[in-house]
Amino acid sequence: MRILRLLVSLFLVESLFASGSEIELKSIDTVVAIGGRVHLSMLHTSDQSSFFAGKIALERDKRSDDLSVSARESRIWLKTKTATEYGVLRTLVEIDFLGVKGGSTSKNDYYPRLRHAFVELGGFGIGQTNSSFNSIVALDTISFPMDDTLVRQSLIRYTYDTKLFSYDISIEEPEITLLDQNSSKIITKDNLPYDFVLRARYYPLWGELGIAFLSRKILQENLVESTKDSKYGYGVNASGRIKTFGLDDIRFNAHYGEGSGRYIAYGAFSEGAISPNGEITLNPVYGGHLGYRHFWNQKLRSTVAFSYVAADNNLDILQTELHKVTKESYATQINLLWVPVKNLLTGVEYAWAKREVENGESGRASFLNLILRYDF
Amino acid sequence: MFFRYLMLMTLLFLLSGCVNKEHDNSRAVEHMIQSQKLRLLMRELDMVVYERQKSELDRDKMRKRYMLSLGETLKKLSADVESMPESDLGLKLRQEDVLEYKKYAKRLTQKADEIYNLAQKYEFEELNQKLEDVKVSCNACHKQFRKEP
Repeated sequence: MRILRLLVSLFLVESLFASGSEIELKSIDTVVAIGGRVHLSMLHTSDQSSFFAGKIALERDKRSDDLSVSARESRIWLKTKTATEYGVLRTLVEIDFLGVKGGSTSKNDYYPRLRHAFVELGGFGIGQTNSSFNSIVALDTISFPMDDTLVRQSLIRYTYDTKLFSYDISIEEPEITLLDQNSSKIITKDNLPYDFVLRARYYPLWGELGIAFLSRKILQENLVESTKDSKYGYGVNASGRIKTFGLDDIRFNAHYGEGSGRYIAYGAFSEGAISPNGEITLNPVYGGHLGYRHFWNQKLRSTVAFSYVAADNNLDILQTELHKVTKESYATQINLLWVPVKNLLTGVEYAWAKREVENGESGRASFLNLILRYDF
Repeated sequence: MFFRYLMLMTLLFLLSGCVNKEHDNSRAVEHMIQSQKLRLLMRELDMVVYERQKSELDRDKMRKRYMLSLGETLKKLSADVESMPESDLGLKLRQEDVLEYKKYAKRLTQKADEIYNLAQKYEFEELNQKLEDVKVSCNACHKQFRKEP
């Protein structure tokens, strides 16, 4: 019946038109919008490293230069909005092609990956989307900063908006990663208590600021035979941007947490370590970035940024394979981005990064990234 | 942005002091500031598409906030227009000119309300047309009433 109603609704489409860059289908009470992005990236790396805090190759693993060209960051989304008695009901489903990669020497079969599947009504939101703990402002760079705080996961969120502030409270999917004495990452299965996030955002005329608090329980049961332990983990993430002259701005982020490892730097760090007798010790993880964005003119802009991230790993527990455990990473990025026509972005970015691991070894890499992107 | 306004205010204040100590042009200055703010807001709205690590729903919320700010700025502009002293408007106005002038102010308030309502409903597709209407209205008003320097 519902399917029938939907079909009827679609046949009763009132108008079909392009709004800005997206295509909208309008029925009597629902607007369906389809959009996306075509993103072509050409990346040259000095040693086949990836520009992530935990993936910069160590000197011992040095390899030759590499040039890769990919359209995997292209994405498609579909969103709807429906007027209801409780306000506007909004939904979003979005995929990109950064899933499993297959056969880059022949067909470049990049599999779709779910980014967002989220529904919002009357301040409540449910589904998979960006964590409330994420930074509210990101650098205007092509690659991510070393300390990037970005997690997408299932969550239930309530948001209360005022003219200048937004307040969020959410419970989110828990995942726990711990390092054993051989520095191997273990994902525990005993993660029933949900991660809890409180966030406040402030939107003055001179910029935007956000601060988020994460609270979580890190526990293990029988990970080591007949043992059980738990610790309270937390994190604080502050981010924002301050407008300076014209459209120029300063963007920043600072993070500190114990047991918040997976929320920062794309899995470069763990929540903590587990001793041979099953005892958990949490790792302090901290970092930040600072960037300045300058507009040369309305179509040309640049960002210069520095980012740093580190962890105090428990070396009393971690005994071997310490080259697998990242101690700190830092990077600088500088770019030039050009918007020749609306929604078409092209540009080049140079980045340099260094990583040090817990046995004292390190690695350095440089990256040159060219992109062509069109948002439709 | 704040420093820019501060500098602009200071400069205009000093200039006004040099030219005519008796003449109060604070409304005209405020009008200029709000116009500049409006332009920046419109430009920032265009830049939302490039904001990274936001979902489309987050971007729409950003657009909504910018639209609400646009509406608010337009209302301030309208208030400044309405209370602008005749001495800032060029030639001596006839009664019908004054009425015509007030109409422009009312039209701005009306557009501000329309933009505010569109924002509340996440209806961004009509914004460009509304802003075009504002532009036409502003240009017509300036052509008819702005005192040439």
